[in-house]
Amino acid sequence: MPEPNFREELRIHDQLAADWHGDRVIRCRQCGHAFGSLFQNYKERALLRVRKPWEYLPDRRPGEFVEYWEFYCPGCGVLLAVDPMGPGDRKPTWDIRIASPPEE
Amino acid sequence: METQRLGKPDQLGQLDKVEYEIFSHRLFNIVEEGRIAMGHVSASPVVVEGGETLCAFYTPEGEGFLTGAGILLHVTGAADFVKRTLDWYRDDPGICDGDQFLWNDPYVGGQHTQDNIIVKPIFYQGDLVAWVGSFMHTHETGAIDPTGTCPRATEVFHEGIRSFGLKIMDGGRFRQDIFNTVTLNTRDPDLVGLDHKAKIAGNNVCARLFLELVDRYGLDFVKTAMRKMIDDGEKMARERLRKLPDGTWHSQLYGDSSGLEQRPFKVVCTVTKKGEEIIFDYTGTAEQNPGSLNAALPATKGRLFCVLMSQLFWGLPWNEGTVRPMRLIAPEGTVVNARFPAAVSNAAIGMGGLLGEVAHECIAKMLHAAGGEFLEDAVSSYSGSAQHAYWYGINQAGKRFVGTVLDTFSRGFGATPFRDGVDTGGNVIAPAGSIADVEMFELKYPIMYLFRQHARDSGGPGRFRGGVGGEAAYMMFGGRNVTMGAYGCGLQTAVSYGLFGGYPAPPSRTFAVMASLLKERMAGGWVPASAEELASMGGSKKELAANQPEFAVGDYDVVFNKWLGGGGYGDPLTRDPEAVARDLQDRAVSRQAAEGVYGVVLDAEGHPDLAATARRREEIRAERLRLGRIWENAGTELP
Amino acid sequence: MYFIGIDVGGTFTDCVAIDKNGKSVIVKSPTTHGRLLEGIFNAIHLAAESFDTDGQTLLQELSQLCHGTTISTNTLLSKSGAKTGLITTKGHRDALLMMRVGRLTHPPKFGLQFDRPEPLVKRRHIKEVSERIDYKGSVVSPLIEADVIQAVDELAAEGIQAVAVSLLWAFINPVHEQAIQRIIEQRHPEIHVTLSSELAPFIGEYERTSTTVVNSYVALRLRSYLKNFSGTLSERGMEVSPLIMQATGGLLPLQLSMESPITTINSGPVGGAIACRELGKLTGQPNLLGVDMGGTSFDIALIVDGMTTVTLASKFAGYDISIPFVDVHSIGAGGGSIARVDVAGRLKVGPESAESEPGPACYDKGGTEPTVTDADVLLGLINPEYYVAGRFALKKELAEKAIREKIAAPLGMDAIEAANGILKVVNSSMVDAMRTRTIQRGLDPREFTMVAFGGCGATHASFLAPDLGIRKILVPYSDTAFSANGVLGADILRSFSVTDIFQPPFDADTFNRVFNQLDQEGRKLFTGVGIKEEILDFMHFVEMRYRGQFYSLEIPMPPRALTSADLEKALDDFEDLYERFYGTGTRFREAGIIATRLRSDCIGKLATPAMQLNGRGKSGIGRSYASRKVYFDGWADTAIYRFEDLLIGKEHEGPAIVEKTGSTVVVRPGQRFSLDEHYNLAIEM
Repeated sequence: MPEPNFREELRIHDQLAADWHGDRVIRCRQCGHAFGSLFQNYKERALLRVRKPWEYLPDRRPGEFVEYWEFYCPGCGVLLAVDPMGPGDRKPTWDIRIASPPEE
Repeated sequence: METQRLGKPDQLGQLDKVEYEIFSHRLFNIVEEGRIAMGHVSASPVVVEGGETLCAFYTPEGEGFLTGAGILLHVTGAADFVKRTLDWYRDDPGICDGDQFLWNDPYVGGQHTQDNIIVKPIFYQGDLVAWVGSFMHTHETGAIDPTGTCPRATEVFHEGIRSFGLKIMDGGRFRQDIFNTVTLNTRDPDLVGLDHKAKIAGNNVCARLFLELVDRYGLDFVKTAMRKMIDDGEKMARERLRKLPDGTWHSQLYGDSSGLEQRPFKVVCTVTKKGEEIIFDYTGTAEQNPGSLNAALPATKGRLFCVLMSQLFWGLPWNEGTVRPMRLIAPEGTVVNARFPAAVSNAAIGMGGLLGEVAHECIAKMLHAAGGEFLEDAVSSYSGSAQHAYWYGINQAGKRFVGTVLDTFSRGFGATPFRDGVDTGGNVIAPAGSIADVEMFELKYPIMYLFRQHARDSGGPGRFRGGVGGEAAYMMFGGRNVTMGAYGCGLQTAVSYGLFGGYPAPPSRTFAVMASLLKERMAGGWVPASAEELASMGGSKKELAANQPEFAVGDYDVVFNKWLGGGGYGDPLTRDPEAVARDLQDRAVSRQAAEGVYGVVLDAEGHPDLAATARRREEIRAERLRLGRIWENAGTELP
Repeated sequence: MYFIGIDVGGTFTDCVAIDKNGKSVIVKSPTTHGRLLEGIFNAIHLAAESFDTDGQTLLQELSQLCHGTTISTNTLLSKSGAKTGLITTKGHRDALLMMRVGRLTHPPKFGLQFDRPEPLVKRRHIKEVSERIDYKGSVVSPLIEADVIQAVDELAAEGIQAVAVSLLWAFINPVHEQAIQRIIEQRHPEIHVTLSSELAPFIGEYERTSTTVVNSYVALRLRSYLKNFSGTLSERGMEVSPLIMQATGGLLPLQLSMESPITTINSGPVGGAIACRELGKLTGQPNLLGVDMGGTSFDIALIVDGMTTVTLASKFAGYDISIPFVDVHSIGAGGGSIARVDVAGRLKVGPESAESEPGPACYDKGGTEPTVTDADVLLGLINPEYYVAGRFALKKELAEKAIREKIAAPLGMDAIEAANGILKVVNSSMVDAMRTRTIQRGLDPREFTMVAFGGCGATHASFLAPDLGIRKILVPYSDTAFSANGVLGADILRSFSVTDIFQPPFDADTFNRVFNQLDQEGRKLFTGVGIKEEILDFMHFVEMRYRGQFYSLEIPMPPRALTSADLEKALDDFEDLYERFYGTGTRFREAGIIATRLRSDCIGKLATPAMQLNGRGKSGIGRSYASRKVYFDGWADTAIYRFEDLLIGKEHEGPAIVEKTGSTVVVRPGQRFSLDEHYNLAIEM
């Protein structure tokens, strides 16, 4: 993983960044896929798959109360977020909204 | 002693930098002395090994200016006890030299009724110059259920006796009448008694050393230094906040128990940081529960203090000044600000993990966006909820006992952008905590440890893996009339988050195996050492609820508990295959998880097949692209 | 007839030699890393020269050789020990790795990440065997020998050289550990075995296991060193068997030392503590606070009522050892400690050290970080032209540059103020550590005499003592080779103990029976290796606590048949001591007092002659040879003395500096000093 250069790009996420001084579009750092404006929820433009949680485990557990919403980059398929969602959750949570980068 | 007054404040009220530094260090040493003294006097594993103690100093008005390195949940909550002592008792019965006041009402301060706090005013030449407080979690309160964290409680009145500033030391005289009342009302008076004595000892040690310091530095210096510590804390906190981006971060998690029954409820946190200020807003959080899975406001404040000090304000002074730039919005009537007289005994173990983790997740993402030196604290989940088992009955020495086990204080830490989380790293709320010694525990309680070990797959998968938590099996051995129960949160939801594509740690798990063939099997030379082996010895298996009311257990009945690891960081498909192979060898990860979630193909000896791994990972990514749907376009049909 | 003490340190090998008349000599020779024996012989030759003889003759005429070695300590620090395996109870393989969390530092760190020390045993070399013993020592599940055979064969196939065996409750019933030992001896006699039940028969699963593993890890290196050491010495004519210094506070015959290699860890600093104790005997002072300040660390030893204090649990290089060791507490503060200004603008000193390479800035060996020694030079406490007796010139301008740039500028002070700040901060952290050590034991530091030694001890002591209310400092004649003194002054010692729960009311017969057994065990062991029974002596202790508590206090008992009155008194002593620690209102007799351990120290008294220094150095001029400005919160004209010039009994006023061969003694304004009949420099205030 290359060391991020925070002066040129505003990294809002391990895999996503925007050019604060440029077009302020969120892009995938792997494949360049554009997710739209910095001021919109990137998850709404990501691929979503709803999965049973911890289904990769060999041991079986008592029934679960949540689903995992997994969000992928439509360009390269990298996993961006795993969110626990419960009954009544209809919409991806908007977890990161940067108003302005840190003071220089 | 040299009588020379060192470092008098000059006309500007400025303290000599060096003398001030020396003074602060010495004061910190004093609260550490107090904490250690408490550990020596207490008989409680929660205190001695769990590290659930703390000594702290307060200004005459009750503002915390310096705290030791014990359990940081109580720093702000305890200040409330000092303030309430002043409010209520200044005139009647009065606050005098040699007094010590015992408190434990969770609606005034602390987390729950187990948090017993004794505060002592410190007088110098007749004037009140400071307060010292000693805090301890005492695992028996005379409540409806043993230990005081109550699976059956629906009101705080069920959660044990509450003290409202009893003068347990009255003008330097120990009050046996009060002592007897607060100890003999519980199931284990000796344990509770030693804990109270320990807090008195902690206060005595701190007050004596504090007065020596006043003698040495002079009262003017000490008063100025107290204020400066608080002001410095605030100044440094604001400086740090300025270095972070402005914005809003959001997180949610689910709990799985109301305290009375298994059911999901949501905790939501929105953090907005602007300039030098930061707001934690819990609007959207579920209404308060009918059982004990609630926090009163002081508990929520205490937990947030801990969140801030361990992560956002790491390295800054531990006092009330440091949290001044912070504002908390906790709507009344929700699980983070329960209305009196709601039951709140699960505030620390069950609720605390939830409300703390949602704040941690927001902060982690904020620190990540700040980059640079802050990146290493962009850490995945590390302090979620756990579930503790407890026992009540007659022990092998014929004495009534209440035992609880704090092995979950070795939960895994979260992964960061640079490294895996620490395996069985500890409990972040108790930096001085450790887990019980197996032999000491077996000596004290009629319980035998069949095993205690790293729990495979308990860390959240990710490019960097969450540290593993542990698992243990406790077998009844040699007690009489023993019942057991459990309390906590997080069996059917994961009270844990993953960061940026890393997975949350999977949930805890607890079950009992009763009336099995274990006795015969052990006598024949077999000892079980895994959940699977426990399931292979016959008998009846009972999955425990997160808050399990007591049931009777007999010799050789076993309870299994697996606790939380840390959260993962980044897409697990990007983890180094060699690291996954090492995890398999170290029993941190199962073969099924290695192949399923990490996409690493391993040969029979556990070596990774790099070419096959690359192909497998490509397939998984292709599957993601094939099955995933853009939410905007998905409408109501979620994929 | 000669008596020799040899202490091998990181930089110097020190040798103290005494002849039968008490005539003594202290010599230093550089430690020859990788070929330690060479440095040892060099030191012995140097000592022989002082007696107008040669090394060979000295060795032939030796009646006693006492040796302190750092082999085990260094093996642990450099991770160069044996390829080690561990056999433990099924279900408990991770105890060693979990370390019961293992964040317990003082003060505790509140961080999100930390690293445990690298385990001395690889995870795959930890083997479980099916067995279980309960807290009473009853076998609940028998040992499955097939498990053992498989485990040891696998370990052997992996090339394991040493195996630690640590099973639950083995200290109550060692039968399963012993069975494992037999199987290893039968199948793989070349593998070294340590049993937890023999080495550390104390409660505490993790701590006992860790202790056993450390022993296995260092055992082979120490044994081969000791074999080589004694073999080479006897080839060169030595007839006596060497005695080896132990961290338990005494010496052990070579053969017994090989059986518990772990107890040589930290024996060097313990030698310093023993030297303090002996100095106390010589000068009639029962309570001493020994402070050893070197380049990187500051070691504190306490002598209370003429006895060293003991700690039940220690940590070395991050590894837990739970064998009672003489308590020498170490903090990272020394001449090489680096000063810096932290993010919050606070002046901090240490624990990072510039070590001896590159060393303080003033050494001019490439170090640019300001250190305590740089501050000492700038303040005039150390004469840059007379460092280590002028053998090594210091560059004051480099000290000043480092302090000005790294400390003074960011703090907005001048360089002298900044240097004085460094001095104060490092001194106060040492004072805080000493306070903690004394106050935690319910002791009042004002009742102590400070003994200052090590390369920097004498320079800083006069700043430390007043801060603790201490009125007298002794700088021993051999302050830079003090551990060697202790090694030579020690007795033979081994502790024997029984861990159990003794319920009240205590029964005198039971206690007497146990103590007799322990004494008998000691007698048998020592006479078996040729120690004469008539030099043996015993001391008895009982550990007590309130029922249910985790921490105990140790109460000394009279070394004779106990009566019920003795036991009654022990209970009172316990509660008195307890209340002294924890204050009024903390007694709690109703909770019940139990005894948890009975211990007997078996001591072989050695007839080492006392050092006689009289007759040397009396020709001094008795006055200072120069004067210069030294900073004591302001510049003061200060008299400079050479140690050789001082006359016994003559008192001088501070401020003063006394230049010794290897150290510099600072006496502050208002303090007085004089040389006593044993050549100790006594500073009073």
